[in-house]
Amino acid sequence: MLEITQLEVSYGAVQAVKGIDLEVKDGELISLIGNNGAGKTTTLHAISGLLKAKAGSIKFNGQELTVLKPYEILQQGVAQVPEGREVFPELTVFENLEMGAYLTSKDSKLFNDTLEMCYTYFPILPKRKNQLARTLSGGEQQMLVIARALMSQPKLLLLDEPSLGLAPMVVEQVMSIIQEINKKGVAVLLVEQNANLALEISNRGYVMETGKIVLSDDSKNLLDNEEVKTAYLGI
Amino acid sequence: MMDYGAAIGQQLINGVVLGLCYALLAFGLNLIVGILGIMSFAQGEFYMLGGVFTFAFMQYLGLGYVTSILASILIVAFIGALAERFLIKPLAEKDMEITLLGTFAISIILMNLLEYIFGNTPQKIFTPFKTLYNIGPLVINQQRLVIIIAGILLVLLFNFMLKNTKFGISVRATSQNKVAANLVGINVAKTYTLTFGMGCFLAAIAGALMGPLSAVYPSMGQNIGLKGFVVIVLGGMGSLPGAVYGGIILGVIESLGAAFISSEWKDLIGYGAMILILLFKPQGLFGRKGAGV
Ligand SMILES: Nc1ncnc2c1ncn2[C@@H]1O[C@H](COP(=O)(O)OP(=O)(O)O)[C@@H](O)[C@H]1O
Ligand SMILES: [Mg+2]
Repeated sequence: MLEITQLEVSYGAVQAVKGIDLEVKDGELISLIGNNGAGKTTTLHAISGLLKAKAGSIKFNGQELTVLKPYEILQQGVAQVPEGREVFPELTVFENLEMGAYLTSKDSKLFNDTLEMCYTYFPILPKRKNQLARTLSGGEQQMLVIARALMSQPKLLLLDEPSLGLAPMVVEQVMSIIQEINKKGVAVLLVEQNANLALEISNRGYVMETGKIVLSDDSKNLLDNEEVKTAYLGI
Repeated sequence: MMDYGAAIGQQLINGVVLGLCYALLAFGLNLIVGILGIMSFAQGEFYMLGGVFTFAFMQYLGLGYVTSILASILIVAFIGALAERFLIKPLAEKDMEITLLGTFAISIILMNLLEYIFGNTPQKIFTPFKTLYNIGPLVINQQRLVIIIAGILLVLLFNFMLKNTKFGISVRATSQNKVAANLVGINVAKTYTLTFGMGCFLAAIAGALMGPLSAVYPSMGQNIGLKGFVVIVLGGMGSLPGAVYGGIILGVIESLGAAFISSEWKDLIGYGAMILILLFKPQGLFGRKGAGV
C-alpha cells in the first residue's frame, strides 16, 4: 500500500531524513518509534506533501506521492493527524469536522454516515458540536483531530504522537480507538515516542534514530529486543 | 441652536458615508492581513483603480455608472489575484518580511502606470444618483444613500459568506491553522490568491462609490492607503468587525473635525487617534490578542 524507498528530506542544509525504507501493507498497523528529533514528523510531512522530498520515492498503491500537492495526496486516501492537536481553534467542533470532509462532502449521505461513525468512536464530540474547538480539553482536541482526519475517509491514516500530553486514561481510550479504526480496514502508521504503547498495538515496528531506520521487525520481537528495551522501553 | 444641531447631523451623515468607504477598504485590508498574514501597502492603489477604471469606462466606452463599477471591480479583483499569484506568493516563499516591499512595489507600479496612461488630472465621475432627499433639516443626496446601503449590504454579505459558506469557513480555517488546512485538503495557495483578490475587490468598490463625491486621479490612493492603515490600527489588525467600526469612527471624527475645527486638521485628527490607540490599546479597539478571523 505505502512504499517508501531511500527517502531523504532536508531543512536547508540540515538533513533530517537520510535515506529510509518503510512499508505499510493493506490493513496493517505499523509503528514508527524513536526519540525526539529522530525525524519521525519530517517523514510524515513528506508523505503528506507538506515537505518536499530531496531524494527517494513514496509510492501509495503505485502512485508516486512526492510529485503531488497535499490536497492531491489526501484525495489518494492518505490522511494525517499531525502532532500537537492542530484544531481550527475558532471554528466549532462541527465546522472542524466539515473541513475534514472538505474534498468529499459533495455526497451528503456519505458525509452523514462518516459523521455518524466519528460520533460513535468519540461520543463526546456530538455533545460539543457547537463549541469552539479552542474551548475543548486537550484530550477532546486530540479526538477531534482524529475524527477530522477520518472525515476524509482515508485508506491510510498517519498519526503523529497522538498520546503526547494526554492523561493516561485518555491515552488508553485513544489507543483503543486507533486499534478499532484499523480493524475496520484502515491501515495505520503510528508515530510515537511512547514505544511501549505503540508496539503493544502494532503488527510491525520501525525504530528511527537521527534520520535513519536502525531496526525493523514484528512488534512483539521489538518488545523483546534488548537494545529496544534499554533505549526505548526504559526496562 | 437648531442650526448647530443640524450641522452636526449633516456632518454625521457625511462622516458615516466616508467611514463606510474606509470600512470597505479596511475590511478588505484586514482580510489580507488576517488570512495571508501580510500587510498590503497597495490597498490604496486598488481603491484608486476602482475609481479611475469606473471613470474610464464611462468616459471612453460610454458605459453607465453601475455597469462601469461592476466591470472595474471585477477587473481589479482579477489584477489583485494576479499580483498575489505572480509577485507576492513567490516573495512570501522566500521571506515573509519582503512581501512588504512587494506590495509597496505594486503600489508604485500601479500609480505610475495609470499616471502614464491617464495623466494625473483629477476627474469627476458623474453619477446618475443625484436626487436630494430632505430628512427634517438634513439633506442627503442619493449617491450618499447608495454608499450607505451598498456599504452595509457588502459588509453583511461578506460576513455571511465567511461565517456560513463552505468556502468562507475554509478561508477562516486557513488563517487559523495553515498546516491543518493543508492536511484537510484545502488548496492554501488558491485560498490566498482568492482572498487577496477579494480584498482588492472591496477597495475598488469603495473607490468607485466615492468617486462622484470627490475626484479620481492615479495618485489618489496614497492618502487613502494610509487611512486604511489607520483604520486597522484603530479597529485591530486582522479584525473584520474592527475594520467596520474603526472605519466609521475615523470617518465621523474626520468629518466633525473638518467642519468644527478646521479641514486642515482632518488628517491630523485621524493620525492622532491612531497614535493614542497605539499607546494605550495596541491591539486596537476591537482586536483580541491572538484572535483569528
Ligand atoms: N522547521 C525545521 N527547520 C529546521 N530543522 C528542523 C525543522 N523541523 C525539524 N527540524 C530538525 O529535523 C530533525 C528531525 O525533526 P522531527 O522530524 O521533528 O523529529 P521527531 O518528529 O522525530 O521528533 C531534528 O533535528 C529537528 O531539529
Ligand atoms: Mg515529532
